[in-house]
Amino acid sequence: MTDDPIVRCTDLRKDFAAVTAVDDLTIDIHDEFTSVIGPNGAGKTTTFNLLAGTLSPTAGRIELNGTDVTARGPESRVHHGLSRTYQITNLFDELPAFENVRLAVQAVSDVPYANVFADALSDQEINRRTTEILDLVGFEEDRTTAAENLSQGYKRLLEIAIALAPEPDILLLDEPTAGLAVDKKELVFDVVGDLANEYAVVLIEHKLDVVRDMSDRLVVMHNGQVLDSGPPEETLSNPAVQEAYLRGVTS
Amino acid sequence: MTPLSVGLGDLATTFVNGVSYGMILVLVALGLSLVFGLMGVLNFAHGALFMLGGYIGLAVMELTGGGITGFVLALIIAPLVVAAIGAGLERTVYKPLYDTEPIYQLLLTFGLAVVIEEAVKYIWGAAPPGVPPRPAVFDGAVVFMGISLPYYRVFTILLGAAVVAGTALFLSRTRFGLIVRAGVYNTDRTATLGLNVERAFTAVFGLGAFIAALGGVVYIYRAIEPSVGASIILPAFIVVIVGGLGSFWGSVIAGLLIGIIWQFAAVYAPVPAGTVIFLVMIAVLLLRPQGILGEAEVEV
Amino acid sequence: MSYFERSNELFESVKTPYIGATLLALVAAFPLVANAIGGLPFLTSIAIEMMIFAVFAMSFNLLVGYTGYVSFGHTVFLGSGAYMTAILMKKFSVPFIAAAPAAVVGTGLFALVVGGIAFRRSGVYFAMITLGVAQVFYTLFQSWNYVGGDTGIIIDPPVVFGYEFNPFEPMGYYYLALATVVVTYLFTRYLVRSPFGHVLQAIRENEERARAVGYSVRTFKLAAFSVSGGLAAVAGVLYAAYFTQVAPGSTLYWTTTGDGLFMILIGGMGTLVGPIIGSVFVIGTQYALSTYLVDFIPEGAPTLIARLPERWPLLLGLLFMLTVLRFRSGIAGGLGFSRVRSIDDVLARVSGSAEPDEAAVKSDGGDEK
Repeated sequence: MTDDPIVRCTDLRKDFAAVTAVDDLTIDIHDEFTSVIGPNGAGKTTTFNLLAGTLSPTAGRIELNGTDVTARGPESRVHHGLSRTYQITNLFDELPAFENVRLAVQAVSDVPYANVFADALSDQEINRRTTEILDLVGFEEDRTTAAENLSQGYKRLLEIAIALAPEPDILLLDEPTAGLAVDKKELVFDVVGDLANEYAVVLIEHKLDVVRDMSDRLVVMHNGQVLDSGPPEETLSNPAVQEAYLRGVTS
Repeated sequence: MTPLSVGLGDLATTFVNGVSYGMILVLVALGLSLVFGLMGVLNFAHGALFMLGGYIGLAVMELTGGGITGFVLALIIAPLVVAAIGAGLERTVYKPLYDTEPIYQLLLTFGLAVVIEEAVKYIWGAAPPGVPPRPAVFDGAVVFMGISLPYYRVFTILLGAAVVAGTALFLSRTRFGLIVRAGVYNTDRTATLGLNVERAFTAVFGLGAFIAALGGVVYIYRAIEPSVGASIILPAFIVVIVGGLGSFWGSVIAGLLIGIIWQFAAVYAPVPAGTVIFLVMIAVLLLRPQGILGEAEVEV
Repeated sequence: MSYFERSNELFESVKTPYIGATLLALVAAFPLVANAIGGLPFLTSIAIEMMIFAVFAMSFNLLVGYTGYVSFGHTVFLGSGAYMTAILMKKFSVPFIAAAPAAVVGTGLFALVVGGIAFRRSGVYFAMITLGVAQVFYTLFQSWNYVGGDTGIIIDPPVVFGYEFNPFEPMGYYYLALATVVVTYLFTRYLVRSPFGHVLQAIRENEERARAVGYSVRTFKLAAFSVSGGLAAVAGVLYAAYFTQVAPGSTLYWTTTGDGLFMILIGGMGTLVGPIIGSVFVIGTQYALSTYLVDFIPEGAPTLIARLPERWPLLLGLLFMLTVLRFRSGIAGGLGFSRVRSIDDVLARVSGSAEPDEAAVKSDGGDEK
């Protein structure tokens, strides 16, 4: 862990009409495993959307590896080392699983776009890299299957594989096990655990027991604000966190 | 007419013509905007329903022997028939596409517009239809402060205003209106409220078709012909964009505005009026994409 | 999955280049056959029209079928190509051989400007803005005397390297159009298989995700729109050269865009052969109904029967709607062509079971499953 944060948010704020979804969020994210927890509506996904550039903030500033990217769109942030998955699977539905990941690899490769006579599928370096990533996440299913025809579990894995393609410095995972059966959840969490060894991972997750053991750091969000952040045990023993989180969960 | 010879009377006449044409645009745009707001479908075939209203109105007038009685009956019956046709189309043709990609909805409504226009040509012929003489009641004009206002223009404006007021009351005072407004705001939420969204969709589609057909009947005495549907849809869409997609009052204000600009452009501009209002739309899109009354797009 | 997944025998056979070559040979020999059965000028002229609109539909398909954007104003680029050719030839005495490429490049640039405005919005907005642009030019050209108003511009048939094209002896036009179709087909085939073309399909499938993985989608969309417009201008150049009259009603009015959409959808959106099949089908149906069906209708038939032949768009419109509702892969899909490119070969090579062979990427005729 170095002193320079990968992500630095300063006074980040997002309003939807009269609702403030994220309220003056100031946080540094370092090269470690960070989990963001909090009740529904706490602003977790909105924060991800702000970090990834899917949404533009009402106010505040976002730096990636020291570069101010606040005004830049999602396509630019990938090139600055940030990549993300989506809570609701967001794939190239009709295209084969392999092509889904290959497109993401091609996006960060040096490719002759102006050459009409080049064949996209004949770049062996990109094909090799694509295969590597699919192997890495344990994608055992037929890779010619269209994304929309995959099972939920493999859709989640494909989500993660696409996000890994740019070899990001930081990987944002938005509830990667949402909607999965218990055994499939474990499979995906195994993959996430492995990734955490190689990447700085930020995970949004509802299940406290899972993230407690995996994470280096917990960020507890509530009503768009960070209630507390720090090592899991420390954070969870904070009475304010206990009260807010438990109340939020039961309400 | 050169600008030098323009008198106050000419300006006023052009203005009244603009308001009158604007009211017709409002009648088309209201349904377009409501349907888009509630279902997210931009109904390219909406202009064809307007045109169909005119033809069915003509048929009613023929059956009832014309005159003022025939015209009034046309104003009542044609919109009801077109509303039924619209509701039927919503059930059978549009419904299967709500869950698919917008590109297919767009293509479908385009195909439907062609089919309705061709069906009208098939049944009534491709040439502009013979129109019975306008009821004598509409001959003449009110003279107001030295400006002559033809009765038919006044009638168009009053009818439009009445429809706007009626629809506004309907949407704000009835339970059904509540469902529609909630649906325009958020379809998912409406569903969780336990409201019957499907029926609301059908009804709104029918309502939009009703209002458009009313406009079509009024248009009989302007220039009804099969291609009117395709030629009215672009200005109506411009109205909806300028007013703000899904905004009721936005459509009303923008409709009148575009109608007035259209008439002034037709009289004074060196380029066709269609070009002028299209440039207005481009300007709005570039400068204020959400339209006059539309809220800034909510990002989700 | 809404598209055909099956891999039937016909498809397997179409895959081979031999079938493609045979088809091409048959088409090339068509005028001789038409001559033999005594229908040369008429049948050949229909075939030429089919080929001109096949080029137009292929250009349109690049946008609609591959990038996922429906324009309601694509005919403005056909018109632009035709008018630029006619204006250059008529008003500036530029020879056809120079006017043609100028019209194509000029239209490509024009499309870049239109796209710059239209791509500020997506979906219905995009469709209506493009329609608006086309309608503006339609109404302007109708009332502009310099370009002949409603009648448009009438030019002389082109003369290329001493060869005089003759609309009444349409052989020259026939082979010019055929060559253009083949070149356009090959060009789009290479294009959609290039890295650029794959990005377009990513935008069609999921524009948000395409951005999120790092593509500047706006640049790709603009480039696609410009190329698509330029290709439509190729059809426009052919149109001007063959019909020798360029008028707003036939080249700028929205119904021409509609014909293009009919061709793409019914033929098979997002496949390479779909637009060609669609053009042959749509124009074929049109002539079959309006020219041949008339002979079968007895004199004094009831109006509704007598009107049938001229109402061919009604039939096509219903077919179009049915295609959108039920058979989205169109005729090409029914024949086994898929709009998703096969990656079997790539996987086989990557897995190492096959000999690594860089040049083995297939370039046979037809779309791959």
